[in-house]
Amino acid sequence: MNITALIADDEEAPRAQLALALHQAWSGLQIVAEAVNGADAWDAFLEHEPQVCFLDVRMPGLSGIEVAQRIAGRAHVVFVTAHGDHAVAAFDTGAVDYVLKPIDAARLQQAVQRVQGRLHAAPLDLQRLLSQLAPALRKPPPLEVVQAAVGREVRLIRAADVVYFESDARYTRVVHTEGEALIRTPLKELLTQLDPVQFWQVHRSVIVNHLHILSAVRVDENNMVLTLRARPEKLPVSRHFQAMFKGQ
Amino acid sequence: MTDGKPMNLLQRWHHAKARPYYERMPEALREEAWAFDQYLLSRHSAGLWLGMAGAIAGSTLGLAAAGFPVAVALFCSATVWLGVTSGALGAWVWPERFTGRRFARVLGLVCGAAYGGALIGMVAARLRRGETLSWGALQQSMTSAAPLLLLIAIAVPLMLLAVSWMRREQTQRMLERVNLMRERDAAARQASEAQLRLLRAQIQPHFIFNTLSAVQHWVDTGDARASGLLRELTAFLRGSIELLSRPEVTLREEAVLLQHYLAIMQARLGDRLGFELQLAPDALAQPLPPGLLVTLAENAVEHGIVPALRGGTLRVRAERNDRRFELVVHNTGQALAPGWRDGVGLANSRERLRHQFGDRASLTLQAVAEGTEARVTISAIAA
Repeated sequence: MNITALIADDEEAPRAQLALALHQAWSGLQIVAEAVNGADAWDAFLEHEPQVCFLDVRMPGLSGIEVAQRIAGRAHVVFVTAHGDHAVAAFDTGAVDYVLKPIDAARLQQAVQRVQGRLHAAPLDLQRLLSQLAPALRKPPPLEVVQAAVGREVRLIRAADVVYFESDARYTRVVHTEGEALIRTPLKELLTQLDPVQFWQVHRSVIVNHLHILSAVRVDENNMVLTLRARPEKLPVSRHFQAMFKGQ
Repeated sequence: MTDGKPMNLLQRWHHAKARPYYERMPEALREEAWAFDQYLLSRHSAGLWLGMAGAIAGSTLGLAAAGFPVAVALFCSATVWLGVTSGALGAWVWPERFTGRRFARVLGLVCGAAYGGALIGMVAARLRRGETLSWGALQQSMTSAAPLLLLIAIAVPLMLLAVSWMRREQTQRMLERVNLMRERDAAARQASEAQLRLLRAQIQPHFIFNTLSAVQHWVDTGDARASGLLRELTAFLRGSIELLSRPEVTLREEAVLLQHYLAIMQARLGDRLGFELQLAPDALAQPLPPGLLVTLAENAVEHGIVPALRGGTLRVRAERNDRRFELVVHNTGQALAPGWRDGVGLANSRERLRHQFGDRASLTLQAVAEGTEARVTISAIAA
């Protein structure tokens, strides 16, 4: 059985170089997705559920560190970075797998062998180390108002009034307390702009304002749905996110 | 302390014995004393030793002819010559022991040695000739020898004094020279460290390795973009090193460097990076701290455009009129994070602007309607 992998780098050449080098270093590896930024990488992870993720540290949207935090031990992570990144020192002390750009075939081979040796065990738990690294990243303030074109007018919807966002083909549907609107910003980009404390992703295609959730109901072993305060529809919670609703 | 040359037996023996003495010497003298001692103990000093032996033999013969027993003549000659030589050497190495109050001791020692030696010599000579020792005869001999002895007793200490004065003077000059050289070295080192800091701020390892990563890949795959990117990187590095070693540069020169930087970043980022340069011809001659424009552009690209999912556009505008010069670097990328602080590059730029223009210059960074802008203004006259 082939091992599946995701690679993510925001620059074209290093991404292609990594793909090429991995092809030579790991013959059974199947690269299922090449992501061009952090938001894309997280979305691709949810879509393909690869076993190994090679993540550039500095990426727009979500940094490699943030993507790894979200992956939360559900895949083996190898960071890719250029020399001079402040994270390298932490990687060294934390025994985190990483390779430096430009990629050196011998060093990549070592990293690959280490991951291969651990494939049948649970991935390393990096959460503590990653939470130390994440605050070093500067972020603009979260989105407070969503602008949606409705016919000839532009509606300004307060983030607090949004019940949930849902991917809808090339658009994102904004369901709020007073109706619905469509915006062009893809859900995966929106995710990086919203306040993560208030807005929870519950499915690859759904982000919900947790203040509008009434309950989470387990349907069977694999399925869970959310009921909402102001809306009749039920939202599915995919497997990756079910652990958020565990009762206290 | 060793200069790496293999030592002969004598030198090794001396080295083991003399080490504590060397360690007490001032550092500046140590090397010299060491070299001198090594010379004395080497083959090259054979002539010196032969000369010394000749002098001792000559005066021994002279004294013997004057009626001294050979053994006594040899002893006296050796004592005088070796004493004078080692005295002179001592005065050279430790001048402070032969000057000031210590000079009295030297004087006493030399007088005592001269008179004592002469007395012993005469007694020995008389005994050898079988003459009886009478106080009167001895007194007569000593009186006849007195002018010569006095000459020795005065001349030798004076010579030693002269040697130590000369040496002290020379040491003083040497120490001054060494200190001057040290100060000069320290100043040069500080200047080059400052330049290095500047270079490091401008040429980040992250930037270099990411660029090399693209070059490497395009070379490996035979992509035609490799050559152009490598050329731009070379031009950027060469230009940075040249410009940053100067106290000030013109906007025109900075703009050339900026274009190399932007060409590199555009090769790497593709259509994520757009740029527009509007530099008024009047403004091109404006002197600026080296690296200022590139630092501001680099900040805009690294913190504004690269982190933005959709990239952005960099706009650089410069104008100058009679009253002031204005440079604006604007980017449409990711907005400033709340609670941001000056990074190394910005703090550095501010510092160098103040250094060059004092209160006439200002540098501000702020969020504007569409993105972020850095604005440098330099007024023509003090505000």
